Amino acid sequence: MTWRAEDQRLLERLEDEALFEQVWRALAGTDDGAPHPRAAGVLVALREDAETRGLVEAARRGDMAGLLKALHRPDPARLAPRHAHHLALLWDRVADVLEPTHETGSVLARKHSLAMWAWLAAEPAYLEALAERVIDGALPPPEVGRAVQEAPLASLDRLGARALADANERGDRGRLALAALRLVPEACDDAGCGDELRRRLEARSRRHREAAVDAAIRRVDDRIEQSLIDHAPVAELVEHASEAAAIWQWAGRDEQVERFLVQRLTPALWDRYRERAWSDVAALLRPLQAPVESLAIRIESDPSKLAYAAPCAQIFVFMAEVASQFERQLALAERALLLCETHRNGRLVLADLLVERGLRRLDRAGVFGAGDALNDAAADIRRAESLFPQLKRLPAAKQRLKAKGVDLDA
Amino acid sequence: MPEPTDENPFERWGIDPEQGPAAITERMRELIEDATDEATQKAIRAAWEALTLHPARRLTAALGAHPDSHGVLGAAPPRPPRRAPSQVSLELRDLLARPSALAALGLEREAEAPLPEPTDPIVDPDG
Amino acid sequence: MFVDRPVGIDLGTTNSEVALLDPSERDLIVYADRFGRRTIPSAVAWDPKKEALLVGRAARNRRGREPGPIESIKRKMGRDERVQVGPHELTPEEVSAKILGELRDRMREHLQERSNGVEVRVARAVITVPAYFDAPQVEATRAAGELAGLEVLGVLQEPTAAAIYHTWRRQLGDGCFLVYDLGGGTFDVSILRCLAGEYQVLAIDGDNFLGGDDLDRRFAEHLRKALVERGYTLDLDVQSDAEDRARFQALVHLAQEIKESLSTSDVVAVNKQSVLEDQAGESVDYEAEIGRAEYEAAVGDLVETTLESCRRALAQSQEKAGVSIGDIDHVVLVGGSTRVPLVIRRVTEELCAKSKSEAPLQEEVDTCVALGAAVHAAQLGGLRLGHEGSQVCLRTPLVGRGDRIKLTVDVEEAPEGTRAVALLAGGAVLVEEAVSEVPTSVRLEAPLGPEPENPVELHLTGDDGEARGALGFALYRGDVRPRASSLSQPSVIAKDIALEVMRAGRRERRVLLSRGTGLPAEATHTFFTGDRSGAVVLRLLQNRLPIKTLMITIDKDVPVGSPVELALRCDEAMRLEARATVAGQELWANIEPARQKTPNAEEVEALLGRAEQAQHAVWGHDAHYYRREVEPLVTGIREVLATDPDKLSALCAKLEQLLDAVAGDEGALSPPMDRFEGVLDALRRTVFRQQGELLGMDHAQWEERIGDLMQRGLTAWADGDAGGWRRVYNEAQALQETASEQEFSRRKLDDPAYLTQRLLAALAYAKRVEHGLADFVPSNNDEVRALQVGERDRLLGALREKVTEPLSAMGAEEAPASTHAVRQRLDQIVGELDRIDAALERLPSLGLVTERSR
Repeated sequence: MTWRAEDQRLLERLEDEALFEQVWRALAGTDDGAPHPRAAGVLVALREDAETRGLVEAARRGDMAGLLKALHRPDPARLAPRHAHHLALLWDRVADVLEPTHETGSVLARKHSLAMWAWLAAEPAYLEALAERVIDGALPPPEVGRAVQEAPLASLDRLGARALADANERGDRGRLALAALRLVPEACDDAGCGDELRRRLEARSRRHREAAVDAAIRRVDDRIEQSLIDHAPVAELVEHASEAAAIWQWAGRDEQVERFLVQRLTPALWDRYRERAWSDVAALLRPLQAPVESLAIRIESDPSKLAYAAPCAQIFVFMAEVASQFERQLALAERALLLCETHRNGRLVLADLLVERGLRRLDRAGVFGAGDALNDAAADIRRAESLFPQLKRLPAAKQRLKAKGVDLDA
Repeated sequence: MPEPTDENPFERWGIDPEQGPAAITERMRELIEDATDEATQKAIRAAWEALTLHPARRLTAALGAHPDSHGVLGAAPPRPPRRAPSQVSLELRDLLARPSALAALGLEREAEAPLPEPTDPIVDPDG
Repeated sequence: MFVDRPVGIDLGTTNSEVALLDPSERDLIVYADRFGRRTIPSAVAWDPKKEALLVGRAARNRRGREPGPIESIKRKMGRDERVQVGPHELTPEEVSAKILGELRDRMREHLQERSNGVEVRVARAVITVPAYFDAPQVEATRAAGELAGLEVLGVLQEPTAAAIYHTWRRQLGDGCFLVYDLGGGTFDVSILRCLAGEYQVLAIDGDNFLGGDDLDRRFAEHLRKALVERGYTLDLDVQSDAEDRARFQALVHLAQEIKESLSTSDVVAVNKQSVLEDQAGESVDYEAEIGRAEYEAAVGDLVETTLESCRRALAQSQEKAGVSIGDIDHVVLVGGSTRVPLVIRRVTEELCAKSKSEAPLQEEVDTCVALGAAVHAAQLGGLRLGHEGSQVCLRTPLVGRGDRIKLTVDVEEAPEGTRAVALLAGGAVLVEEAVSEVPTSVRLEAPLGPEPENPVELHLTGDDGEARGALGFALYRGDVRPRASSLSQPSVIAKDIALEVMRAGRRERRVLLSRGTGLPAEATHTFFTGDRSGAVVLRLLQNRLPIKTLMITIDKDVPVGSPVELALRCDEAMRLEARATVAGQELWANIEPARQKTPNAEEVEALLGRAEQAQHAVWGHDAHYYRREVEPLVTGIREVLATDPDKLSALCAKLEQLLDAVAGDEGALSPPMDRFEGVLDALRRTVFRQQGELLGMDHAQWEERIGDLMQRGLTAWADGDAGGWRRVYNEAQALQETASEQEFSRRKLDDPAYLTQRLLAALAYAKRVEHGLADFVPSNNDEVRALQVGERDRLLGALREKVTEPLSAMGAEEAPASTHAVRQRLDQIVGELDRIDAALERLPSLGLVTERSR
């Protein structure tokens, strides 16, 4: 009996498969959900590379640390395409298995997988050769090319589909899929992606996230619409707003939800505002607080997002109107103007609050006669005038100031 | 909305991605004929469609399956000429196929080592 | 003992056929009369002398006599009308049932003669239908089979049956087929792939009202004109005058004769005396030489229409399976009308020349459909045997090549105490399998004898080992012809079954079962309630045509967004069932599509007028749809106005439904484009009025910004991306709000002039909403209409009470309150108006479910 090359190959396969069982257990923390035995091919490249061969041998002896590190952080410069392909699929599987028990680990595993796909996208020759063998002329070359180009994006599509499928129930799988989609830029960094590829991947990721968030807010949208038409009790709207806020959390504090909330609930706030139902306004504002704060920060830190400045500012104005403490009211009105310096209602409310403070200061100045207080009051009223010259209380305030010897019109 | 099924059809049904549609169909037919419950039959039909209807779908599925990094298994070892049971005399070296193991024991292989008379049905397909 | 092997039946417009696959699978047996004629005319007539119904040839022989035969009944299938057969008024399916009954009886006699005394039953059948049949037509066909006392195992598309026959006959394991099926009344094209013996239907297209009959009618009309030129009075009104109809029918028969003669020779000399009597009572003679070219010039465009269908089918197969004309291995011609030389020539030029098939396959053009259906029937129904309380069905083929054969046996009935099934040959038990209950299914694997035919017996045995029932049959040694396994589902859904849903404020069609899906098929989808109207409206469509509306009344407290589960099931016989569950209520419906009615002349005119108006009203996506779907129908209606009342009513019904769909504003994104343009215009004006920078951007930067929004909006609009469209629209609106703040902050809101301006604007707005409510056209479904009308009346009341009356009161006030109070009231009224407007917008979609995930 001669020992042939194929016998050697069979032996290596069996040994790799045996070791891979342990690798899987180490990565996934379970024997369940192990991938197809071909996944053991991930060890081949490591075994054949002189630099990593030792890691495989050590792992066979029970020391897995080096091997696991090599699987976690492959060196993009030394990667072989087939190895990257194994890794992309392996990490995807690990991410699936970790999902219910170890969310962070799952999302990170997904990122590793995305990084490997991104790396493969930059090495199309391997996928093309594989495609040629599979297709064997059954598809015209341009279509093969298209399929190869799409392959690295397929995992984004899968994540998008999961997020979409889970959108209505706000399920964990969908939430994690969205989290992974948000990590596309990092995966691109890990893979050392070029600009063009990065743009493609990020655009696809964004599209999927938008679609999922769209699907998630649709129900709340319908509910709010119905409640607005019915002029329903505020409790109903508060419930919808809270649901939207929950979607916002589910979607990883997504900007789209913030915009939605601001725009969709403003008419209801106006309705209640006109009815002077202050407690309703306050109740409705409560679930909006965190999302609106987040949107405000986005607008302040990125001038290109100015579109939502006025609607967002209006929410701060509402908040200012119903805040229970004077200082808080002032701060919120200031915040509205910080967002949108031309905002009419913001200017009006802030001007009114400034006059109020000015008058309070004047009252104090009357008691103690302090010059500082008078100056401060004058500054408040002066600023109020510059903000909103038509303010009804202004002439009387200026009159009082004049009586104290400060003539703003002089 | 159905749950997106993530299981790769090639891997789930143990089909080599480099096989053509006809071979895939033959295999799927065997599978469906053995399947007893309707859910499995439905899954097989869906996989058949995924793998044979449009080549582009087959290709996508193939790219989503682990590649074969170990190479083909190759042919089974050649069968030695038959001998009568009385002629068999086994030694340690006959049991050690791997050259490295033989070398480690300081043994060498005979040019053509005899095998037992293959009466075992696993070894002897005609038995 | 009895045997029952299911048959395949081709219920054709002109002729029908019935066939059976012999259990040895060596032969396909097609019914033939004692003259060897393998088709039975699809005709039914009344014999006044014998006071009996005649079916088939005897019925057709009554052509030209009174009462004449009922023919081409297939063209009326699915229509709400009756035909007079002697003293009987029959529905189209009743007439078809007579034909099917005749086929069954003839076949049973035919088989009984060959059966060596064993009772032959013909009780089960696969009936074929044109691939492009609409749901009501399929439904009527299956009903006809059931009326005839047949168990309809399946309904199979005719072209698929033809392909199955050819693969069986030529033992083709692999290949792509384009089946061109021009029957008497219908045209179908299907593209199929046979893969290792399994079938995949890749595309279906066709025309339910284009067949050989149309060629005949077209040429008959050509003959009529020629006769008018010769001075005969033949200004025929076939729609309302029975005598004219008979005159035209005589011309059609003459056209048929000429067509048949021209199939074999280039010129035909016609010399016919007294073809008919014209309207002046003069006997019409026809004498002329007609060349093939003259005939072809008259009907050529109809043939071109069929080729257009083929191209559409190829586009479908390209999309579905990457199969284009170059991949087609066999072009198969089916149907008597494919004998027309023009058809063969054009198919050869346009299809064969570009495919791998040099010339079309033209075998058994009349019977291949029934033969293929017989092969499929054998696959679905196996072989049933029974005797005195025992009945089994052998599901698997009884033919094998190897030493052993696997059998699946359904034990359907067994005598008390049966404990096992045993297969015996020559008294020796080959294999035995225990049975614990009946009915049940067992698998047996037995040795296959060496003879071409090996008699065996199936025993149903008790605990004592004694046979309580014995059924004899044979196992055959021979070539196993390619025959599909349960992997294949050759019957498919020909047209999408869809549901009307709301998505991002837009009415959309959500396909539940897509065309090409193999049968049986089922699908479960979850949708959500979209409003609190107290009803859930599920409007099911086939392609774009409504086939059934299910309305479920629910409690008004059921929250918006509650799940609505809709399960659809379509079995092999294309029977469609729906089950809807919402808020703990379940509604189950067998979907029997509404029958179509026959319009009168004024209705046809009105319909054509509507089509013309609609054409001016549609644009964008709808315009494309309009050109593709509506225009051919209008052309078709004009064409058959004077010649074909059946086709006319079918086309009119279809046009009416399509126009309803177009008028239903389906596909329009919400909010409409003009509102988006309005927002951008307002934004541009705001920016223009500013001196220098606004919000830190100069005019050029603003232009760029607005241009970007416009571009994104147009892209979303063009893609029909409802979500994207709303996002861009909302962003534009937010930006306009932000940009206008500067101006707004300088405005004096309580200025009387400004308030007057606002009051006028509110009045105009109220007028617009009022018109919208008055113009609203409710649904033509009774239940849905009641729902919509109720809501509309409620809104009209609210408009009057909360908007128009307070507004007029404000205008009429002599001593207005403070301007501030006026402003507050105005704000409040406009708020109400906004609510009513939003409710108006939802009126057409009231009760529709919404969809999110897609």
